[in-house]
Amino acid sequence: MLKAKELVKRFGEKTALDGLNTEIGRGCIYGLVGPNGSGKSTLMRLMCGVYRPDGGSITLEDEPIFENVAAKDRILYLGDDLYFPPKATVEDMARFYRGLYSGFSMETYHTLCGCFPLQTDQPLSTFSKGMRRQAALLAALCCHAEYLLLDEAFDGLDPVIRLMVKKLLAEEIAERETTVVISSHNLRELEDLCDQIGLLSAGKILFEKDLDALKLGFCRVQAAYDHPVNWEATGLTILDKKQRGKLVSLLVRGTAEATLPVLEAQRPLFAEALPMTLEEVFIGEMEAVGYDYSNILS
Amino acid sequence: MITAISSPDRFGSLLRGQLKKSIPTMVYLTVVGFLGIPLPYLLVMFRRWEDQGEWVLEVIKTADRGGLYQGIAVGAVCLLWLVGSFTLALSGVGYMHDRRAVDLYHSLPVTRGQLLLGHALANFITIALPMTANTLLTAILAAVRHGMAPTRAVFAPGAIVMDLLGWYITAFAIIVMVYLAATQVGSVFDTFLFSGVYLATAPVLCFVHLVMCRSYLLGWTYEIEWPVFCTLTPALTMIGSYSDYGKWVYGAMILWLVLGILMLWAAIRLYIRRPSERAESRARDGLAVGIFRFVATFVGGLGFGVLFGAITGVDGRSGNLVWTAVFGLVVYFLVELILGRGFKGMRKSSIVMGAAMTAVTVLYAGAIFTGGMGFESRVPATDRVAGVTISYRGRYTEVSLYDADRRHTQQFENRSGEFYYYDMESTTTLRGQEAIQAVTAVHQVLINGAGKATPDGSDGFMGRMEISYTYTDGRVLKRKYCAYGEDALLAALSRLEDTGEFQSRVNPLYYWTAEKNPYRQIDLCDPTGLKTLRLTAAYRDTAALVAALRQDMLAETSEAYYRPGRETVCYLYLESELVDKYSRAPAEKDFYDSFTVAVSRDYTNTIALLTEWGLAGYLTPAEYDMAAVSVWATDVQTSGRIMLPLWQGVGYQNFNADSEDHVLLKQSQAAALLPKATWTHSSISDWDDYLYMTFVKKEKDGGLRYGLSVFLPIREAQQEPALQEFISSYYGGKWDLPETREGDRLIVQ
Repeated sequence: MLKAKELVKRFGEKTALDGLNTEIGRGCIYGLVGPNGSGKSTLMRLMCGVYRPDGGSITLEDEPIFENVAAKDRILYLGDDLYFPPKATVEDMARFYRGLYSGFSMETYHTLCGCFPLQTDQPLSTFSKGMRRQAALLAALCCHAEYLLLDEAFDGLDPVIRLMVKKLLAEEIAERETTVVISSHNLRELEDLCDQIGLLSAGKILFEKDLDALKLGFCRVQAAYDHPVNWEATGLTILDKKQRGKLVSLLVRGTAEATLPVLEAQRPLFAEALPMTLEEVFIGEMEAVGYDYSNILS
Repeated sequence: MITAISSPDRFGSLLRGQLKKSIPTMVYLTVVGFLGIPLPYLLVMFRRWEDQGEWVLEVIKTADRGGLYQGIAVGAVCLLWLVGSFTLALSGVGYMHDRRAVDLYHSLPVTRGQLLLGHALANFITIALPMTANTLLTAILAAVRHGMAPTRAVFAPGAIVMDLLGWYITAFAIIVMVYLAATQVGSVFDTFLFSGVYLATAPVLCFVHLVMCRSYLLGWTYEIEWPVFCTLTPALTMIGSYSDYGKWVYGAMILWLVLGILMLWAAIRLYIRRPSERAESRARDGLAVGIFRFVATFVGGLGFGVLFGAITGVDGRSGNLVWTAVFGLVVYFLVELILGRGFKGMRKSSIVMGAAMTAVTVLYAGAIFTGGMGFESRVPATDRVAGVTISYRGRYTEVSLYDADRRHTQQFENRSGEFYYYDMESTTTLRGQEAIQAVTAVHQVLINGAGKATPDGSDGFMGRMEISYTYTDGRVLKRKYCAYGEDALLAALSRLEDTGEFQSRVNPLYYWTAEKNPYRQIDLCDPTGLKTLRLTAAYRDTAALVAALRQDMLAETSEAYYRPGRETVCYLYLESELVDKYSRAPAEKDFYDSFTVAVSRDYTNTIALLTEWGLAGYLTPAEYDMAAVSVWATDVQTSGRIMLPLWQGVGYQNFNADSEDHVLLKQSQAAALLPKATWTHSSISDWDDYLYMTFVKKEKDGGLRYGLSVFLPIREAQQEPALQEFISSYYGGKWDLPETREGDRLIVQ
């Protein structure tokens, strides 16, 4: 388990992480979201031992990660801005990782070479941004690290590759109980991938929950009425209400099953439950804590 | 406890990866190294020249003791391996200063120590392999060449190995210095700058300190030895080994190996503590930055301070101090500006640091300008001095005393046996309290103004005077002055010369005994040098003459010797047999060379004996027909603070009529001037206030024979019309009389 306790990281006079606490267990995809500058990359660099904490601790199975070779052997980090040694090819990178990570599999490498449309003997410097990202993911997946830390993992990938990567990650989790931590400032990107979401803001985890539990806590319904309705009298906890003519759309705390009968009781022309996006769930959660969410829904 | 699934050889893998990347660089260095090192040897190794019909291999001259570096090779070796090590290390640390690379490397399952070592070792191997390959190749060529003509090519495998080892250590130390700097800064440029600081700080500070002391401390004599200077930085050690080879090189190598290991340890510790986020940041912290700021403030403050002090010329040293403070601050903030890329990043603590560093610089300058905290005024108490050596031999300065302990041997070229020669003693070592007291009195006078830090061209300049005291506890105090012949100094030196111990150290006849008389041949000439006679032991009791001379010389006080009116009645040249004797067999003790004595009228014993021998005719000026008057010229020898004509026995001619521009005076004209001439002249006053008047005799065949000279004051010579035009042609109107008389001029050549 990756565990951060009262984690503090400062850059000069700026505090990037300020007493952050979180626990990330095995076999899940943890989505780390937050606005730019919220500390997502910093947290990831602390998780993989690039940075040394200025306060608190970050541990893997209760052991510190910084300068801990055994711990780092189980964690692989891909930064948002990738680096490859000069003139390195995909093959070189595979060799590089093979010598360093005990879990590296050449078999996986050959398999993945068939999946990613890359010329493995060409210098990476000649690759496009998306191709370089593919190469990095390819090499990273071959390492079979228990914790895969992907900072803006899908940046630059085309939709087809993006889908394939998601599939590969799912397989990795299924087969090896790998934990994938993905950061993004865009919720839509993580919506169909994450099991767990942590919202980072001002150097702290604002909240973290299982995605399913999150979605179960809210529902969006819409109904049409040809008469006015006193919603306050209905007893529903309405987080968001939009009315256009006769049509009213509501974001309500609670399940659709419990909410629809209340709408029906007000004699609508029609009433129905709508599927919710992660954005809407977040809006609900964040409105509940009075947080300005606009900058993560860009 | 976390355990890895298996343990790959991570360090080996990292190293192999780095080396693989370095292969093109290795090839490049090997090729350039080949062009610079083995190729010059290859080009000369078969070069021959024809000698009496036979083709002989040329002698191969090499700069190293191993016999490898011929011609430009030594330059190539130094340039290539020094610059190569430095630039390779700079490229090696590049990963630390790139945020993306740091993300990759610092997240890998290797320790930072392994990372640093892996990169550094790869750099070292990248330079060491071409180094080894080229050295070995040249060594093979040298071995072949040595085999072809062993006497014409040096080949010393041991020295080659030591040379290679020296370069390994040099490369190692330079690489480690670069890595040490890199751990504390955020960019390659800053690494370049601050590793340069590490490499150059010690020699630069040492040099600046020496320049300051040399320029401003009266009496400063301490100089850093070249080997010590070269040991201050690994960048100079091997260069120094080619110019001054000695055991110091081994010491320097061991030192830099040990320091290199310590610096490597420090670099690893600092690297572990180094925040990864320092990559691409402005370098403003760390030891290297602090040193850089200080060196810049110190050197810049002092340099510009002294320069502007000299330009403005305001109150000498106190002016320099003010300018030092001003420029110390200016340079400090300029450096801050550069390091911080502008004023924006400047911290308040920088201002305090700038003031502190400037204060240290000003304090240092102040200490130097005010006498080096008692350095200038320190004269040891005589009861604490066991001995003193002074670079002064008084009137016997030009009597060569050979040091038996500093003997050199040379093989005769055309006959068997060895030839010995000896270094000359130019100092006098004294141990008695009276003499030591006399030296401290001289020292005190020098401190009080007769000694200057640098010669200023004053007329009374006597020359360099060095004093070295050895205390009773073994410590040594040395001082060096440019001495000026002020009255107080001359008096103090006279008192020193008159002490018995000083006499015993400089007077060649002090320990002379008739039983061991090396002067078996003595040449005599009258004051004009025209009448000469060789006195040999076969016909004369030369020992008795030396004994009489010794008695007179010991009795003559400094005051009598140096008095302006001292009249020379004859010259005696004592030819020593010891020089020849000790050139064939090693001398057991110090010995004097042959020398000339200007016998004065006060030398009663000598005069009496010469008169007794019927040689009174040699004690008055011989008849002469003319006199040659010249401006330069005639060889002279200085004797203490006077000079007198040089004469080295029968047949010695010191006036060259072909090369000296001169005027020939009639006998009557010369005779009129002779009473105004002097037999000796001060060597520490103006040199342009006298002429030489050399006595000339017409030979039967019509030729002219030139004798010795007297010193004719120009003001007196100007009275003689025959000399006025001659004097004017050299000195312009300087010596013109109020009214120049016409006519009555002699031949002007």
